[in-house]
Amino acid sequence: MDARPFGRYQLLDSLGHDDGIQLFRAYDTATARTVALKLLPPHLVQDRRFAEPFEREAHSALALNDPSAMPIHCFGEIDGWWYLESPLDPWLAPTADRRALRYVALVGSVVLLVALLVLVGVQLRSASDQERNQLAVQTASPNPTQPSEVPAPDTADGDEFQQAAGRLALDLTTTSPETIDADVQRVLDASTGIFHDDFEKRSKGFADVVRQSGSTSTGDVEATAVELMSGNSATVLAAIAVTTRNAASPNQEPRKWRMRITVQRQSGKILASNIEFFP
Amino acid sequence: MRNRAPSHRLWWTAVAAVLIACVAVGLTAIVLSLKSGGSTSSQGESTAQPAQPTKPAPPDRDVITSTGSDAAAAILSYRAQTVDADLARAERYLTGEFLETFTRLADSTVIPGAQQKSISVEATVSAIGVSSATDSSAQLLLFINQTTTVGTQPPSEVTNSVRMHLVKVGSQWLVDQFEPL
Repeated sequence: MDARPFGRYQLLDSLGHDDGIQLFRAYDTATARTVALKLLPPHLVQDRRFAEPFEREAHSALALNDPSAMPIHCFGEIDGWWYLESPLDPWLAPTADRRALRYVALVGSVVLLVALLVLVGVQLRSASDQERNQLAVQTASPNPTQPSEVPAPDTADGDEFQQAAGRLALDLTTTSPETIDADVQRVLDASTGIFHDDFEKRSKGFADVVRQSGSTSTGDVEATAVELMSGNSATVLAAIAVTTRNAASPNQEPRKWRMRITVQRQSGKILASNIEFFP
Repeated sequence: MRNRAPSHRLWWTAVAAVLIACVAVGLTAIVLSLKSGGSTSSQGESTAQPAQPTKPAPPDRDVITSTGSDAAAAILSYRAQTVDADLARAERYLTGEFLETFTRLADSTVIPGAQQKSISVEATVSAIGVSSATDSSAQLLLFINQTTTVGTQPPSEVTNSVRMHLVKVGSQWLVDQFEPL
């Protein structure tokens, strides 16, 4: 892969993009270390809608000095491009899911989103393909271990599955430091299987981050739709706008999240067994 | 939460700015911004879906999703060299007011822009689902990834979600609403 020069950096490879903002893995020739660079192209620098959040992030990240926030090494301008330099993702573990990590890096210093993705999203995404295969198998041949008193198939559009998935998406994205324990419990009550167990295991860390950061997050489910449906399980797509606020950055623009939630009917309740985030 | 229309629009304007950044025209941006600015306000959250008839799944479900997926890719993709034909092909998926809006924008703005600035856009549908469906209409949710190339600049990518409404006209499913989220 050819490195592209950018001031004192060498751009090594692209880690993703978010609404015009580009993220690169880069080599800093001044400090001889590999870093993450977030770039705002010149034509967006002139646009306050893009420039302001970028500035805010730079300043709030520097001022915040919160160990759980994405630390920012430095920021500035090269050839009209604005850049933010941060360490390559500190959570980057060899086994972790790369796409989710890209997303973590993209959301930058938005503490809560980072926490959520690290604690919930990262370890879940890898299970997704298996889960979907399982669903396909279930569709083909009814699983004999499923409870036999399963009610008749849902309405045409899986309304109940959509409602359950939408509620979970809302619960997952609506949290505040004051209510975090109850917030976590709501998600646990509405989930099952590996997702439930993983979330439970990580919920303390998640709650700690939310409390430390003082971040309040509000989710707004904009749409849901059934992707696949068998008799007692379904995958549901959900588009969610998430607004996060804390003292350092009170007026964040909503972030658009795209999720695939696997839900299944279990003893009369519909519970979530997996969540994937689309970058 | 209810009055999110302004930020909603702002967000879309931002996405639009990305697409039309170096240029002045990105088909998607304009089509979508018009659509989202002009019409249906923010109705239909998952918790407030319109009541649906409780009938068995329409046999057309696969037809609906494959048509929706093809339509979205056609509406949002074109090559600078073949933009005329590409958009004419996309029009075959459309009906009603959306067809008129789309056609007008294609002719007045998108086609000349794409040709002058050498813009190509490629959209892929990464996921599609059915929010509601009857025998004669359907609401879909699509997750879309788009790669835009302007001249010789490196391609830029945008992801978004789209709510699409289809109606059955004769034996054919056609798109009559297309709304970014």
